[in-house]
This record gives sequence, structure tokens and C-alpha cells, in this order.
Amino acid sequence: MLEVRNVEKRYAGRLALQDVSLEVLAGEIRVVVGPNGAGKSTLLGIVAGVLRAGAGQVLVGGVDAAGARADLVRRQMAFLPENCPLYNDLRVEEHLAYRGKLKGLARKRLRARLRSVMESCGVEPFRRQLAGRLSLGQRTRVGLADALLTEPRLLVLDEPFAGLDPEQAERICVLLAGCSRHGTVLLATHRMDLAARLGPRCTALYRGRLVATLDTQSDGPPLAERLQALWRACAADAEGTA
Amino acid sequence: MNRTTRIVWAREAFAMSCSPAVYTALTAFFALCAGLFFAALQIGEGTFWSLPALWILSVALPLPLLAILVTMPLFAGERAAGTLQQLMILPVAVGRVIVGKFLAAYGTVLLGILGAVVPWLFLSRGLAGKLPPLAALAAALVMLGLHGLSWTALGVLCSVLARRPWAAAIGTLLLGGGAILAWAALSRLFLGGHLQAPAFPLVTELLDAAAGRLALHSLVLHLSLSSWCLFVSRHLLETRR
Repeated sequence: MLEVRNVEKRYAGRLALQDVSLEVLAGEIRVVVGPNGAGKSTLLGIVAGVLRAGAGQVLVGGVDAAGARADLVRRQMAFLPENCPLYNDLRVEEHLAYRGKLKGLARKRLRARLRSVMESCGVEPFRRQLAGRLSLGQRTRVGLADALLTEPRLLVLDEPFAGLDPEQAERICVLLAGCSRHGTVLLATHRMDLAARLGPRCTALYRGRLVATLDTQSDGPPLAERLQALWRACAADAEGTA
Repeated sequence: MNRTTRIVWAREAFAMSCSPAVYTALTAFFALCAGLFFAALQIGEGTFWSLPALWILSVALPLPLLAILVTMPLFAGERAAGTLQQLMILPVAVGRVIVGKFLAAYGTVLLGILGAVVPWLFLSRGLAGKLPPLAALAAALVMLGLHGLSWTALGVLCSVLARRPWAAAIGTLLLGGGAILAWAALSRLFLGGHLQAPAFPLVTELLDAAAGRLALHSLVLHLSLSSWCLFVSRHLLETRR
């Protein structure tokens, strides 16, 4: 479903991503992990089409996401960025309705989808509130509801658990598991406990490089411990190289 | 109107109808127009300036201010808030988004121009029988509409270019001012030897309109400038997508 080939990205000459390649199968939930500044958001931004790669290619369903048929990819994909920007002057349901209309949903289907996503993402209790007055957790839920409006085939989520209480995080986990039935999910998170449960494999980034693809459900030490060991090894390696 | 254009236009029109900044801009515009007009009436009394000429100049002068205040948040504001990025990853045609936003802004500018007609209602009592012909007023309104069109399109272009709304406002002022000066310089350069070239073609076309004369070249110029601004805006957003 998703193929990232040798992607590279620089910010003002500094390498943010270096030769990153990965493949995510249809129906898979792939978690991207890494310490701060590892390049997770940059990778997700490039996949979502928000950022342009300096080199390399992103293919969604075999179509180049930055090519002439990019609109085809945009129709199949939804993206939840980390800070979850919303139209602060609109009420939550107005914001979602506006986004749904722009995504091309017809009136009847939009109404049904709005009801469904507001219910499943826990947005219902504050649907009449102004988006500008929401907490971070509530904003994240609205962003997720927006992403799920069109039932996308590829869902790209940057820190979807940011600001969520354990109960809500659990709810979103169940929701994402359901999403993987009709689509693919690529998400970045710092929550190792949830990462281990979400998908069978997780991709580890360190200072812009893909350092490992781990099996999250393997026997042995928990994922968090294995990742800590990996970061220590990477840090030692980087110091040795320096 | 295309569906995307209509959706974006409705959203922007709603945002403007709820925005205190837009109401402040309209109030400031009306106050400036009225103040300038009545000051011009005092100063211009007994001179060769006609009543419509004084009126059109007193509306045309603060018009850029209204257009700038209305257009500056269209794209720059969305970019600063992060919502433009979210808009650009949707499967929508950029050109239609631009036209939707432009129409909403231009609607507000037109509302301002129509509101500036109010002083005539007061004057009509005092000047019974001496009011200028309706054709002169209509021509003045059309010319102001064309000026509003150009300023709004310039504002949209600068809003696409800028990262912050205030930068878009400064950009529009500089670009618009530069365009006016360039127009004056070109008129002198190319027409100076043959015709009696006007010192400021912008003022001349306004005064002509106030006398009931609408030049075709003014219409072509403003429509071309506006189309060019919208075309460049679309190109810029498309390449940054």
C-alpha cells in the first residue's frame, strides 16, 4: 500500500532524513518511533504530501504521491498533524462539516459520517464548542474525526495520543484497530505501551536514519526496553563516529 | 459557481461576518470616507472640483485600506494558524479555493463602496436640483468597483506570498503603491511626446468617471491586473503544494 524509497530531506543544509526506505502492507498499522528530532514528523509530513522530499519517492498504492497523479493519492489519504490545526472561529461540527464538504462528501453521506466519527472519536459531548476553546486532547480527537471522515485507505497520524487520558487513548487504539480493516495506518508516537499493541512491526528512526524495524510482539523484553537499548547503542555509535 | 468555490466562499463570508476585525475595518473606512468628503467639501467649495469628483477621491483614497484589511488574513492567516497546510493536502483545485476566497473578500469591499454612497442621501436634501446626473454617480461606482477589484486581487497575491498577515498588508501597500507609480511613469514615457499626458493616470481615470466618462482602457487594465494577480497566486500555491 505504502512504499517509501530512499527518501532524504534537509532543513537549511542539515540532514533531517537520510536514505529512509520502508514498505507498509495494506491493512497494516505501522508505528514509527524515535527520540525527539529523529525525523518522525518529517517522514510523516513527506508521506502526507505536506513536505517535499529532497530525494527519493513515496508511492501510495503504486502511485507517486508527488507526481502528476497526486490528486488520486490525496483522495485516498488523510493526515493528522502533531499540533492539529483547526478553524478556531468555527464550532467543532461546523469545522468537520466544512472539511467533509471540501473532501467531496455529498450532503446525506456527510451527515451520516459526521454522526459516526463524532461518536467513535468521542467528539459528541463538545461538538457545539468553538474549536479555539478546546484542550489539546479534544483537538486531537477532532483532528482524528476529520481524518476518518472519508474512510481513507491510508491514514497518516502524527502523535494521535497527544493530550489524551488513558481511557481516550484506549478508545483511539480500538478505533485504529478497526480502521486497519479497510485501510493502512502509519503513525508516530512516543507511547511505547500503545505502540506494542497497535501493530506487529515498528520502525525505529534515530537522527534521520532508519535504524531498525522491530517485531513488537516477539518474546523477550518489552518493546520499551528494547528501544532504550537501541537508542543507547545508536548514541554510542554516533559518539564513536564523531 | 463551482462546488469547491462555493464552499470556500461561504466559509470565508461567514468568517468575515463574525470577524470584529472586518467590522472595525468597515467602520474605519466609512469614517475616513465621510471625514475626507466633508473636509473636501469645505476646502473645495468654489473651486473647479465637482461634487462627484470630491466624493470619488474621498472614497478611492481609503479603499486600499479596506481591501488590505479584508484580504491579509485570507491565506497568510491560515498559514500562520497551520490550516492552510491541511487545506492543501485535500483533493481540491487550488484555483477554485483562491476564487472562493477572493469573491468573499471582494464582496466585503463592494459592501464598503456601496456604504460610502450614504453621504449622497444627506446631500440630496441640501442640494435639491443641483445633484449630479445619475450616470456620473453610476460611472463613479463602477470605477471604484474596478479599483476595489485590483486592490483585492493584489491583497490576495500578497496574502499567498506572506507568512504573516501584517507582512501581507505591508506587501500589498508597497506593491500597489509601486504599481501606481510605475503606471504614472510609463504613461509619461510613452504618451508624453504625443498627447497631453496626465501626471497621475489613476487620478485622471477617477475624475473622468466622476464626470460620467468610463474609459475602456481602464476596464481592461483593472481586469488584466486582477486576473494576473489571481493567476500568479494559483501558480505560487500550486508549486508550493
